[in-house]
Amino acid sequence: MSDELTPEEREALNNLPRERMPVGLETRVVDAMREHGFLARRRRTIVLTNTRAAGVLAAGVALIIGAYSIGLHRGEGEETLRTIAQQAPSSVPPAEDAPAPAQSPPATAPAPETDRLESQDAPVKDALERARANESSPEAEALAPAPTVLGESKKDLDWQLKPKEEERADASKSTASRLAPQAGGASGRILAMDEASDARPRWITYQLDGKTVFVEAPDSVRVVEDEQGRMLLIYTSDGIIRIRLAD
Amino acid sequence: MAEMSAPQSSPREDRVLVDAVLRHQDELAFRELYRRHTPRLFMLVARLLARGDREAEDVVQEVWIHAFESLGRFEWGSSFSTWLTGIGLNRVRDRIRKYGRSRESVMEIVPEVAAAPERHEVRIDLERMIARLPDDQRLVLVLHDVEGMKHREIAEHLDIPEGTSKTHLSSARKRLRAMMSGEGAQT
Repeated sequence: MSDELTPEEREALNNLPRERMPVGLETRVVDAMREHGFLARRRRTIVLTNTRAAGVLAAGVALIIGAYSIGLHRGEGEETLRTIAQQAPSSVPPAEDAPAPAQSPPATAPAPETDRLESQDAPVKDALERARANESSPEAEALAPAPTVLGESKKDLDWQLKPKEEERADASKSTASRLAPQAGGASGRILAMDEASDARPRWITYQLDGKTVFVEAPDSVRVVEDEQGRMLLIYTSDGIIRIRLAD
Repeated sequence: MAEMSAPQSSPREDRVLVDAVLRHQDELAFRELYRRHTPRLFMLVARLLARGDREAEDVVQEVWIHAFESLGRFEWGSSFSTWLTGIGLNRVRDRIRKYGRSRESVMEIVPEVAAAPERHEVRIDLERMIARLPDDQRLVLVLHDVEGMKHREIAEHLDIPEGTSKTHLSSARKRLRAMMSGEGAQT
């Protein structure tokens, strides 16, 4: 038998398929090629149509207007706080402590404070009634300064603008001398305080009707005596506390 | 390698696509190359390996990766298809050497075109008989009688003397005839 193929054998071999596409292999090979760095990584492209461009523009404008409005609002708020802080007592922290000025007694409204004083303190109220009736009387002169502590007199403003360093210098005195009663002196001033920091309470000494009064208060509280030296006015964030000796 | 060196596309087109892949990592160009050359490459590899589609797919994937890894050495002296076929033959030979040939594995051929029942059955039988041939004989018979290669080309690809190629072909035909006549089914 010859090694050569018969015509039938050759036909049979020629009829064998020469091509076949494997199912699903293309994706596998493409991924493998991509992993080997021969093909680029797939990138998502966003087509910028007119609608999308308009949307992006509108969003940008809205963002700018919103940011400007917020900035304007905050700027006004800070300006208001700064004004209040300048008008409020000096012990109240300025703008950086926003709630405090809002809760401090408004210096531009002495009348309501006077009313509160009258309603809370009957003897003073009576004296004020009499003083209003006769402004030139000595009694009126004696009682008149009390409301001005809350008002806008130049003296008050000078007191409010007194640098805090001055109070710190006073506090550098020894404890004994600080606690010793101070004779005389202008009314409405702090006579002594200890070396307490802003966070710690301090002792403040007052001469009230000839008697020494020690008040322990934190720095955030301001304590003054009225010009007659008959009443202590303690400014707190919640309001004013008035202390006077009983008759 | 008369038929294999005459791909359906012109070499210039292949070169343009290959350049697009190399320079721009163009996926579409690669997919076009893949669809142009993979069907023939896959069929050849599957028939030579005779170990099923899964193994043939792995080899084809390796061929594509290796082809682009070594494209710097390809000087376009032959067609891209011939070059791919050479890589495929080397991979098949390496696999056969590495794992050996399992007698139980039979190539699964799924005809892609409908044929008359008789011819269809004859073709399936012929594929199974070729798959049962010893590795050396099957490689030479497929490359010579199915793919149309000359003994010189086969000897170059398989790294064997031409005489060995002729001997393997003669043995393969005898064994195939024996199987077709029912005598070699038990061998």
